[in-house]
Amino acid sequence: MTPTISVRSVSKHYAGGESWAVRGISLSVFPAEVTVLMGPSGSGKTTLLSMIGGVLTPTEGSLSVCGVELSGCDESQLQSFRRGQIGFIFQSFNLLSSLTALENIELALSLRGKGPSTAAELLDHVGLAAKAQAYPMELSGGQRQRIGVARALAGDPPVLLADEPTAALDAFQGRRVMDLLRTRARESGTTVLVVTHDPRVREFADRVIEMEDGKLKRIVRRVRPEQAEDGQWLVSRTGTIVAETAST
Amino acid sequence: MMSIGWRNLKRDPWRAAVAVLGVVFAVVLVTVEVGMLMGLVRNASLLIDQSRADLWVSTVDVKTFDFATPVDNRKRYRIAAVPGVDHVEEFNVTYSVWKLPSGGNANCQVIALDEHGTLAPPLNLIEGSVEALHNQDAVIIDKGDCAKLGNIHVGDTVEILERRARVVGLTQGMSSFTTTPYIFTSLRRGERYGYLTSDSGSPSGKQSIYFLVKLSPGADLETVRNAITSGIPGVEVHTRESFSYRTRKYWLIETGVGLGFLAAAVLGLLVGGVIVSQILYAMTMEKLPEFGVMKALGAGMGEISRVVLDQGLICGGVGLVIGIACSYGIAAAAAAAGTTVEIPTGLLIGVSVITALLCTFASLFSILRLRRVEPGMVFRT
Repeated sequence: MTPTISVRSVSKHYAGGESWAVRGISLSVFPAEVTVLMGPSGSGKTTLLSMIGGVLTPTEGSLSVCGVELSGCDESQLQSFRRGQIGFIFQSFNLLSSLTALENIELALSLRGKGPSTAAELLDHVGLAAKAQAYPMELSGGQRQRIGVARALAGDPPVLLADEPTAALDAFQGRRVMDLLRTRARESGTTVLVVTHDPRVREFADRVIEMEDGKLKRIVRRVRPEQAEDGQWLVSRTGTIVAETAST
Repeated sequence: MMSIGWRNLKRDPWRAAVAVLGVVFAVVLVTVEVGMLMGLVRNASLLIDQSRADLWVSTVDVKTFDFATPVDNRKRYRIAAVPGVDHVEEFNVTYSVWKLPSGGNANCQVIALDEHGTLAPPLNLIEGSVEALHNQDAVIIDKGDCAKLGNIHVGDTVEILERRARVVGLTQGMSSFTTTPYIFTSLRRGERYGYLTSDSGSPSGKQSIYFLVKLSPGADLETVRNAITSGIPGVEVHTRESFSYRTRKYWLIETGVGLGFLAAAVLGLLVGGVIVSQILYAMTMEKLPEFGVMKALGAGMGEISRVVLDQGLICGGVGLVIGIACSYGIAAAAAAAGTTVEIPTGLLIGVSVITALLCTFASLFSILRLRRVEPGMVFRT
C-alpha cells in the first residue's frame, strides 16, 4: 500500500531551543487507517504533527503528504496544501467563538471552495443537527469536539490530523469522537493521524507510533483477526514488522 | 465567504459600540468643523457672490469686504463715464452701534444699498419687502441676529448710532463672517446710521465704500477694468470672483481662522482614529488564536485581513450614518442660534471617504500584527 504521509529523517530544532524537539524521524502513514502517535509530554508528537500538517517546517529531512513534497514549499504553497489536503482537529477545539456550529463548518467549506450545502449534513453526521445555531460557548466539550470533527471533515480532505482530540473529554465523549474518526477512515479511505497520550485511544488505532525524547521508539501495527497468530499487534522499530503478543 | 467581522461585532456589542462612538466623534467633528468653516466662508463673501455687479470698485489695497476704507463719492461719475460702463451704484459697508433694549450696545455692520438699483445682492427676505426700505428709518435685519440684537421683531423701533430706526423686514441666512449683525438699509439712511461722511461741502466731501459697476452689453470686462484702474487714481477694480477670493483668503488664511478649524477637524480624526484602532486591535488580540486557526485551516492573509477590515468598515459605516445624523442636528441647532453650518453633498462624500480611509488605516495595525501569527500556534493553545 502506498503511504499518504512519508516522513524521512526529519528533525526539528526551535530557534532558541536547547535541544532537538524531533530528531531523525522516519515513518509512513497509510490511507484508510487510524494511526496514533503516542508518547509522553515533550516527546515531540505535536511538533511532528505540525510539520506533517504544513504549519511548521522541518530543520532537516523531508516530508511528503498526498504527493506534495512539503520541504520545498513556500508559505503560500503550504497554505494551499493545508486548505486542500488537511483537516485539523484540536485539543481545545478552537472553534471560532462568534460563529454558530453550522457557520464554523460553513467557514471550512468556504475556505475549501465548497458551497455551504453539506454543512448541515456534516452536523447530522456527528449527531448535532439540533445544535446548528448554537454558539461554541453554549455547547459541552464533547459537542464542541464533534463540531471540530465535522469542520475537519468539511470538504473531504484526504488527511485528518488530530491533536489530543480526547484530552478535554470524558471517556464516553472521547470514544464517540474516536469512533467518528475510525468510521471516516474505514468508509472514506481517509488517512487519520492522531496525537495523544491517552491510552484509551490505542484501541481505535490500526497503527501506533511511539515517540520518546523526540525520537521514534517503536511502531506497532494491529493486524486483522485473520492475520493474527499469537496476538493482535505487530511491532517494528526499524521497519521490520514483528508480532507483539500483549496488547489492547 | 461569510462576514466573520460582522459576527465578531455582533458577539461583542459593547466593544463595537465604543468603536462606533469613536467614528461618530470623528465624523461629527469633521463634518461640523468643516461645515462651519464652509458656512463662514460662504458668509464672508456672500454679498459679493450674490451681487449682480460685473465689477466692484474700492480704494486700493482693500484686504476684505468688511474692512474697506472710504473713497470720494465723486469718483462714481468718472467711473460711469468710462466707455463700456452701463451704470454704477453705490454700496456702503460701515460699522455702527445698535442700542440694545437692556441699555447696552451691540456692534453691527450697516449695509447701505441703492433700493432702486439692480446690482446689490438680493436680500433673502422671509418677512417684509425691499420696497419697505423706502419708508422712514427703515432697516432690515437677519432672523438669526434677532436674539443678538435684543429679541427684535418686525415693527420694533430701535436706535442705531443714536438715531431712530424701525425694523421692516427679516432676511434669512445673511450673516457676516465675523457674526457681526448686518443691518440692511437704503443709501440715504446708511449715511445716518454709519460713520461715512455725507456732507459734500465738508473738506473730505461725500464718501462711499464701494461702487458696483454693470457693463454695457458686449463690453470686455478686462478692458473696462483696466480703463477704470488707469483712468481713476486711488481706486482698485475687482471682478466679483477676484474680490470674493480675496475676502475668503483674508479670513481663512491671513487671520488663521481656517487653519484653526481644520486643525480641530484633524484632531477629531486623530482621536476617532485612535479609538477605532485601539478597539480593533484589542478585538484582534483577543481572538489571535482564532486567527491562527483560520491560518491553519488554509485561510490566506487576504481572508484574514477581511475579517478585521469588515469590523472596521462596519463600525465606520454605522458611525458615519449616526455621525451625519448628529451633524445635521447640530447644524439645525446652530442655525437656530444664527450660525451657519453648511453640509453640502460634497462634504458628505468627502467625510464618507475619510471615514473609510480612517477605518482602513485603523485596521492596519491589527492586520500587521496578524501577519506575524503562525498557524502552528493552534497546537500550543
